[in-house]
Amino acid sequence: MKFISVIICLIIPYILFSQNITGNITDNSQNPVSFVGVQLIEPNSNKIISFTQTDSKGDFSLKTDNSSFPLKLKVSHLSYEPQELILRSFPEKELTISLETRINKLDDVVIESRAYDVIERNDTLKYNLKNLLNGSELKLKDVVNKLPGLSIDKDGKIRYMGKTIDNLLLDGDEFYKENHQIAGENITAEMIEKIELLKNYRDFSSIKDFENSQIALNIGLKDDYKDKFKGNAELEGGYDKRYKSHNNLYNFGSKSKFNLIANANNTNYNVISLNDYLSIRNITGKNILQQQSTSGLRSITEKDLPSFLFSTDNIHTKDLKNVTLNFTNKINEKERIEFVSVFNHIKQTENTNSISVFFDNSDSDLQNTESIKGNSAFFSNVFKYENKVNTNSYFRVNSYLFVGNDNQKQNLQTLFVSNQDNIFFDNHLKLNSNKFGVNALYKTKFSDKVLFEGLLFNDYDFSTTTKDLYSSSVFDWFDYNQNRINQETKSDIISFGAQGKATINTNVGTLSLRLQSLSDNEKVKNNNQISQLYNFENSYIRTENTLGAVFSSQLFKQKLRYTAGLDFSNNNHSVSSVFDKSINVILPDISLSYRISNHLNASLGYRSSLGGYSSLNFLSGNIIENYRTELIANNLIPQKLITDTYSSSLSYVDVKKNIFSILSLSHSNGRKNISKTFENNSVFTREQYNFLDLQQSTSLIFTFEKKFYDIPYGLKMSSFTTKTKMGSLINNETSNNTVCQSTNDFEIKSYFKKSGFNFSAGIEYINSISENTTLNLTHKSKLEKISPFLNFNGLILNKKVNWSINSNYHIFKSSLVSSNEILDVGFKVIYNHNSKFDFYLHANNILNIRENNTKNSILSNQNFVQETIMNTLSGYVNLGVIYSF
Amino acid sequence: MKYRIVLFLMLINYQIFSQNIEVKYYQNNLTKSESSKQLPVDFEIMFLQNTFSYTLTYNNGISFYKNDEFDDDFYKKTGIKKQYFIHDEKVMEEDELGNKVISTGALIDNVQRLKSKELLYYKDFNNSIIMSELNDGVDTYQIIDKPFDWNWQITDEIKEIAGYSCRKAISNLMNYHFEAWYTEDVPVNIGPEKFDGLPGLILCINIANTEIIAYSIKFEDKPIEVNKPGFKGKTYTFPEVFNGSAQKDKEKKQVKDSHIYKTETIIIKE
Repeated sequence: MKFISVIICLIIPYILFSQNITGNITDNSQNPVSFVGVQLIEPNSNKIISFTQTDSKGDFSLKTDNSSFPLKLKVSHLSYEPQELILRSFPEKELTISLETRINKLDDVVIESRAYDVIERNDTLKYNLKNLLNGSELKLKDVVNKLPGLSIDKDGKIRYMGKTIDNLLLDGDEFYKENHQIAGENITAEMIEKIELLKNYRDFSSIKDFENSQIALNIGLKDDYKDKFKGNAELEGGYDKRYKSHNNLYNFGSKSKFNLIANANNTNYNVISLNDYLSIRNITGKNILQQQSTSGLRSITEKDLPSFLFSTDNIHTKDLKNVTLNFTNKINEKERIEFVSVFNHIKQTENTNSISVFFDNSDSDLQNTESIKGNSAFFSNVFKYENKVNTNSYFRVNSYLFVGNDNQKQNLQTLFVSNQDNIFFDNHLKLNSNKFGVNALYKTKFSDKVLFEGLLFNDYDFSTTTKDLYSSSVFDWFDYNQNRINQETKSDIISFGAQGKATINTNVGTLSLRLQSLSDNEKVKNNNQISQLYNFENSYIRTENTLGAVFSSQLFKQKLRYTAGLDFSNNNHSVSSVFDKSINVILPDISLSYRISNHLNASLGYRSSLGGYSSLNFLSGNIIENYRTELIANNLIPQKLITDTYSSSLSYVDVKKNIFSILSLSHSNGRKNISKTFENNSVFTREQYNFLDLQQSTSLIFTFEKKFYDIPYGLKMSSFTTKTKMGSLINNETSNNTVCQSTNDFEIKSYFKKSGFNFSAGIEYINSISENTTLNLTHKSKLEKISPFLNFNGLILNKKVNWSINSNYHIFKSSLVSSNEILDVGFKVIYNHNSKFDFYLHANNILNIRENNTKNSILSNQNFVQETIMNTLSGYVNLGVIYSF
Repeated sequence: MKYRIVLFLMLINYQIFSQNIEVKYYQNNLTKSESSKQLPVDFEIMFLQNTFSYTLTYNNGISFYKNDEFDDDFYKKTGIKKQYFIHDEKVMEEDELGNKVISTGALIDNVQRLKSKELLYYKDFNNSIIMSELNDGVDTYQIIDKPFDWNWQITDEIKEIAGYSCRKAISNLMNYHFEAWYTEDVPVNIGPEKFDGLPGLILCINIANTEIIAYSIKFEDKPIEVNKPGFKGKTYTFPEVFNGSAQKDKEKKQVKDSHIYKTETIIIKE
C-alpha cells in the first residue's frame, strides 16, 4: 500500500505539470483567429518557456515545462493589438482571449537598412557602413568623410550639416566629447562596428522631464577592441631629416576607458587642433555661464593663444611633441570621473616677406623681412566628477589647470619704401600664462514640473608678457634715445560667479528663470624703462547681476517651435579713482523654427547682446605692442555696447535621398563699439581705444551634399562668405574698412563598391578682398587662391596594399606680391604584412622637397593691409612601420 | 490533355486583404572560410556581398520566398558579365592563310553559374505544406514536403538588425548548426528560405558559410499576390535532395555535358 501511495505521489505532480495550458483566441466578433503567436514567459527573467501559434480554429496549447507560477502569457498578431496576461496559477479551464483590431498599424513606415545609406529612426541617423564604406578607409576621419551629412573641417572638427558635433561618444559613453581630432586620427576603421548620429542626445547630467539636448555622434566598437589593452606604435623617417613617431595605447571597457597618445614629429602633424584646444577651455566657469545664456551676453576672447597653434604649413620648420591622456571611469551606476590631460610643445621657425600699406595717405609703406624662431608649450588638465545622486538630482565638479609658455625670437628687417632706409630689429617675446579654477553644478527636481539648478564658479587667470626689443637705430619714435626696450606686462584676472536657475514645465511650454551674478577683478601692471608713462598699475572691477527669463513652446501641431527670452542686466564698471559707472540693459531675444514639410525647415532669429570690456580698454599708461606700435592711455568711461544680430536659415534634409543642404544668412550690427583708432606715420603707429559707431558683419553659409544611388558618386559643395565693415580714425580722419572673405568648395567623390580604386576631385576657391576708404584715398587689395585637387585611393593585391595619391595645385593671385604656383603631390602606400605589422612609404609634396616654397596670405585691419609671402614646409619622403598589438 | 496541362501550369492567385509583409534579404556567401579562398578567381561572383537579393512576402498563412530575377538590369547594376573568356589559356598561331589566330580558353557562363542562386519556397501554413524549387547549379529539383520541425532553442542574446531588436534562437536540425535572429516586434512566425516557426519574423540567419540578412521590411495594406507554383514532373522530399539520392536519380536519366566550359577561336586580321 505504501508502495502504491509513493507511486501515486510521484505521478500526481507529473500529471499536474505535464498538463498544457490551452486556450482559444477570437476577434471581438467571436471569429477564431489563426496564426496568433502565443508565448509563455517567466516574468522576472523574461525567459521564454514555450511558444506556439493558434490553429485555424483559434486554439492553442502550450507546455508549462514545470515552471512555477506566476507566468506571463503574451499574445501577438500582425493585425491585432498585442496582449499580456499574468497567470497566477495553472488555469483551471481553457483560456478564452478576445483580440482588438490593431489601431497603430505596424509602422506603415518602411525600414530599410541595407538599401538606404542612412536610416532615420526618431532623432537618430544610423549610417549603413556596409553600403558606404569599401574597406579602404584607414581611420575614423576617412570613415566620417564618406558619411552623407557629416564632414571633417580643416581643424579636425566633425560637423553635421556645417554645425560642430557637441559630443563625440565612444560605445555610448561620453569619452572623446569635444576632442574630435584625436578620435579622428586614432580610432581606426577596423575598430568601428557602427556609427550613429543622435540629434537629441541627453548627456549624463540629464534629468527626466528636463532633458538637455545635444548633437552627438556615437562610435560603436567591435567586441575585439573592448576591455583589453591594445594600441599601436608608428615610426617613420626619411628624406630630408623628417620623422614622425606616434604611439597610441588604449583600453575601452564598459566601466572605464583610457587612451594615451604620445607623439613626436617634424612633419607638421598636429595631435590637437586649435579648435580642440579651445574646446578644452570651455570648462571655465565664465564659459559655462555664457553657454547657458541664450542672449549670449558677452563674447569671451582668449588673449593668450599660443600663436603657433594657428600655423598650418606656412612655416619653415616645425618640431612637435605631444602627450595626451583621456580617461573616464564609472565608479558605479551613479558616479563617474573624467580626466583629460594634454601636454604640447612646438619648436618652430618661420620666414616671411611682407609689404604693409597704411591707410594714412602718406608714403608709409613698409617692406619687412622677418624670421622667427620660437618655442611654445602648453599643459592643459581637466578633471570632472559627476554624481547622479538619485533619479531627481545631479551633482558635478569641474576643476582645471592650464599652463602656457611662449618664447619667440624675431629677427626683422624693415625697409621704408619711400626713402629705402633700413632698420634691423632683434626682438624677444615671452608669454607665460596660468589659469586654474573650479566650478560646481547641482540640479534637483522638485516635481515633474520644477527643476532647480545652482552653479558656483571661481576662475583665476594670471599672465605675464615680456618684450625685449632691440633696434639698429634708437627708438626715437617712442621718444626714447636708446636702442633697447624692456617691458613686462602682468595681467591678473580673478572671477567669481553664481547662478540659480529654475525651469518650470507648464502645459503650454517651458519657462526658465535665471538669476546670475558675477564679479571680475582685473589688474594690469606694466613696467618699462622708457618713461613714467609706461609704468603703471590699473585695476578694473566689473560686477554683473542678471535676471533672465526664457519661454519656449510649440504651436501648430509642433510645427512651429519658438523661444523668447528677456535679460535684465545690471553692470557696474569701476576703475579706482577714475570712474564708477552703472549700466542697465534689457536684452531681448527670440527664435522661431518652422517645419514646412518633413524635409524643409525654416528658422528666424533675433538677439541682442552686450559687449564687454577688459582692463586694456581703460589704461592709465602706455604699453608697447611691438617694435613700432604702442597702445596708449585713454580716459574712457564705459557705455552700453549693444549688438543686434539677425539670423535666418533654411535647411533641406531628405535622408532617404541622401540630400543634406542648408542656407543661412546672418547680420549683426553693433550700435556702439569699442575699437582702436590710429595715429600713424612711416615709423610708428599709436593705437588707442575709442567708441566707434560702425561695426557690421554679414555672413552667408551654403552647403549642399548629395550621394546618389544609381551612380556610385557623391557631391558636396559649400560656400562661406563673411563681409565685415568697421569704422575707425586714422590721424583723426574717418577710415572705413571692408573685408570680404569667401571660401568655396566643390567636391565630387566616388563610392565604387570594389575597393581597388576610388577618387575625389574638386576645387577650393578662396577670395579675400580688403577695401579701405578715407576721405581722399581708397585702397583695395585682394588675394585669390585657387586650388584644384585630385585624390585617388584604393585597396589592392588581396587587400594587402592600401594606396593613396593626393595632388593639389595652388594658384595665387595677389594685388601686390604673388607667390609661385605650387603643385603639391604626395602619396602613401601601406603594406599590411600581418595583423601586427604594416609597412609604408609616405611621400608628401614630393615635387617641392628641395626648393624654398612659398605661399601667400593677407592680413588687414582698419589701419593697414599686409600682404605676405611666407615660407611653406618643404616636402619629404619617409619609410614607416606600424606595430599593432 | 492539352487543357489539363494548361490548367496544371496555371498559377493560382490568392488575394487576401489584411496587413501584408514584404521583406527583402541578401543572401551572402561568406568569404571567411579557407576553402573558398582556394576556388578559382572566376568563382568570385558567388561571394559578392549584398548582391543576391531575395523577397519574402506573407499574408494570412501563406509565405513566398524567391530570388529577385537575375535579369539584364541585375547584370547592369552589379557589373557582372553574363559570359566571358578566361584568357590565361590563349594560344596564338598562324593559320594556312597567314592570319594570326588566338584560341582562347574556357568560356565562363555566369548565367548558368548563377542558376544555383535561384530558388523558391512556397509555404502554406494553413495546410502544412512547403513547395520548393532548388537548383544545384546543374539540375532543378521540385520539392513538396511538410514544414520542418526546427525545435528552436531561444537564447538571451539580443542584437539590433535593420533597426529592430532581435533575439537569437538556435537549432541543430539534421546535425547542422542554424542560428536565427527574430524580432517580436513583427509577430509572425515566418522567415527566409526553409526557416520559420519562431515567435516573430526572422531577420537574419547564420549558417556555416552563409548569411541571410534582411535589408528592407515593408508593411503593405494593399494585397500582395502570392503565386502557388505549379509543378510538373517528378517531385522530391527535402531529405531526398539533401542526402543526394535525388541527384543520383537525375544522373540516371540524363547524360550531363560540361556545358559551362566552351572554347572559341578569334581570328585577328592584319
